[in-house]
Amino acid sequence: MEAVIIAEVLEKSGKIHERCRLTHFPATLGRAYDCDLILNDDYVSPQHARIALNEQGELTLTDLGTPNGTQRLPQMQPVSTLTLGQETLLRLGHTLVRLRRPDFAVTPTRIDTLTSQRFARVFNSMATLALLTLLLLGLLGLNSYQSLVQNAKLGTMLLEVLEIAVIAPLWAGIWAILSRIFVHHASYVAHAVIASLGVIGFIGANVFVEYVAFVYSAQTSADILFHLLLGALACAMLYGHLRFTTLFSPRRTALIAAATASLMIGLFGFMAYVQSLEFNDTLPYPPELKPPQFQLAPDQSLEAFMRDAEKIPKHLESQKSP
Amino acid sequence: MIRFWLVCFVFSFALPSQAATEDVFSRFQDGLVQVRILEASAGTQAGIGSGFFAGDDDLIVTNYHVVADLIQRPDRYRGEVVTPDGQRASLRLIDFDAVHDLALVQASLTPHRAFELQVEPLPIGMRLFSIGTPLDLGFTIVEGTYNGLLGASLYEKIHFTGSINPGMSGGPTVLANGRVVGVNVATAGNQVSFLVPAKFVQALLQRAHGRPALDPKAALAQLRDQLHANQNTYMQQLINTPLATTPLGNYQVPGKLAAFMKCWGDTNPDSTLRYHEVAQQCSSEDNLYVSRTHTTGVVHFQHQWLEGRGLNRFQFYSAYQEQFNADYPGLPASAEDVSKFACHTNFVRVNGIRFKTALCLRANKRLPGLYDAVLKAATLNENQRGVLTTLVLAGVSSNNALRFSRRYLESFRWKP
Repeated sequence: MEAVIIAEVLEKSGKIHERCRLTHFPATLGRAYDCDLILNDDYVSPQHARIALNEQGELTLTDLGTPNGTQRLPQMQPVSTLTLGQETLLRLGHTLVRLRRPDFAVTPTRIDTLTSQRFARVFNSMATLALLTLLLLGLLGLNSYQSLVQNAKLGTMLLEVLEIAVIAPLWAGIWAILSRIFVHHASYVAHAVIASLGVIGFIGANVFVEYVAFVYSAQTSADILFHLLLGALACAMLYGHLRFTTLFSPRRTALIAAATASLMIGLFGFMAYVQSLEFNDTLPYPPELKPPQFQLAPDQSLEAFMRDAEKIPKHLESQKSP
Repeated sequence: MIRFWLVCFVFSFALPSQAATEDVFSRFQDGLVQVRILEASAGTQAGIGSGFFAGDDDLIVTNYHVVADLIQRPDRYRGEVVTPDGQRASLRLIDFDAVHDLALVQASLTPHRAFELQVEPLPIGMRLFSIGTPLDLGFTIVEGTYNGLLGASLYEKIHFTGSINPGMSGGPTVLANGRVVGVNVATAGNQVSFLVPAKFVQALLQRAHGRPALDPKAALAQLRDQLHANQNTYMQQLINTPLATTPLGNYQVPGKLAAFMKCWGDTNPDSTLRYHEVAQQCSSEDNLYVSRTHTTGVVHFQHQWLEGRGLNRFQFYSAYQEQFNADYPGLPASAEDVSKFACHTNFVRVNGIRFKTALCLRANKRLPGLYDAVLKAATLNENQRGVLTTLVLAGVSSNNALRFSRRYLESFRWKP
């Protein structure tokens, strides 16, 4: 069997700058144009090192007495002669050279999550997008219709729908551009699907929290619940978008999405808190009124209500700033 | 010959009425002063009013609202008295009656005249002369008529037909003989003005006899006590009298609760709205001045009956919710006067009616023990109809607020 060694010139980041196959020995490495591997580095001597077969039939590398010498990485040991193993990492002048044998074991094939997996196919399918768009338009229309208390034309109702019809595709478009830049694959349909799911989720969360606030007559809990739901929704959306925009592992993507969503919700919560410290004359009661069938909390007697209301002056007292 | 004397006789009635106004002014102007409120640091004028000497102790009578700054912000303001002949002296607050908007101050000035009070009742139509310093224009006199006491008022006030101007507040309104019938306090424009009856001045003078100057802390405590006692009077009356009710849609709702309230009602004219609305409201018309930024004392409630016209239940409740959350009638106050509101909300069942009820209170910061209360309730019995009600009580004790709110809700009735 013929001896073969693959020589790779690496950039500092580890990316392969050039690669060549050395099959005839002895082979020289250096800056001169009569070398087998020509290195473009002023700190490399014209004839810097030689790879040759020794008496045992092994490939060895010898430094040719150069002023800057050859170092073996990672320990930076100076090299005069060494035997080449599966992989040898060397420094000649300021150049990184990696020598590998043809039987070097490569890592298993990475699965392409952008196009091959099943969930990617579902997300990228036009059918999914069409279905969700119909669902979204239906929900928005229904929402509009239920608030319709004046004799208004169809056009007024559609106007509210139009806002979403412009914003959602734009949002998906921005992500598609980012995806194109980072992974060379736009996945626009997938981003549009995620955006639609996000809006549907937002509408759902809104309606849900409104009914919870009414049903249980609880404003503060409803607010907290809404912020949590928004956070979860933002996290899910970010996760979806990032999976199509980056090549990070699912776990890493989830962590980034969760961290960003928490930061956003934390910021909103903080802003709301700061605003609540300002003086105002609004009445802080849950404002929702729903048809009577939706009330689940039991009725209180007037006496019990007034007894509970007696706590308000004490509460105001404790809130007094000095 | 007889004709000559007849003409003289007739003219004799005309001439004195011309002479009387000038006569009254020239005779009595030296009992008047101008009361000025100045910013303590720069000495710039922050407020102005009138005052007059009365009683035996060289005391000057004026309105509480003219000198209120000295009680609320004694660090920022000081008071000064100026006589018609240009003498100035700083003033000390001796006593006040915030409910009737009166105050007694003292300055190191010897009065040339002290007015006497007319506390005995008068016939309607008597000519009166209101004296004061309108809009910083020097001392003037305005002629008008005595029209008796106001009918639907919580606090006794005299209706004076004449044009009192701002700045005349605190000045006297006198008969031709110089006796003070009332103290100028407010105007509604168009020659409709109000006076504080002299009997309240008399009571205050008697009480304040021999008192030293009030220090700001004691003044604030006294203000609190006066307002507290006052709200107790009318609130107890409201709580202990069975509430008058009036029909609204298929409900019976609280109506005109007392003579001092004025009520009116309306339906919505907007035919593009797909629901029918009938509104009613009642309000006491008397506000109590507490400070520059704060008036209190109002009792107000309003009802709205809504009925959907061709709406499904979700649409009706969408409109119902919007109306429920419309602003309550304003309670003007600043962050220094009051705290923020805190509410208790729940579903309450009264007389077979289910209400979503919110009762909100906020505390008066300078006058502890007084609160503003807003009660909002919405009936939740039907899918297409309901009544929204709002009750506003300004400057009452929390006990009175709760007790009256309870009586208020208890008075509702429903015919399904």
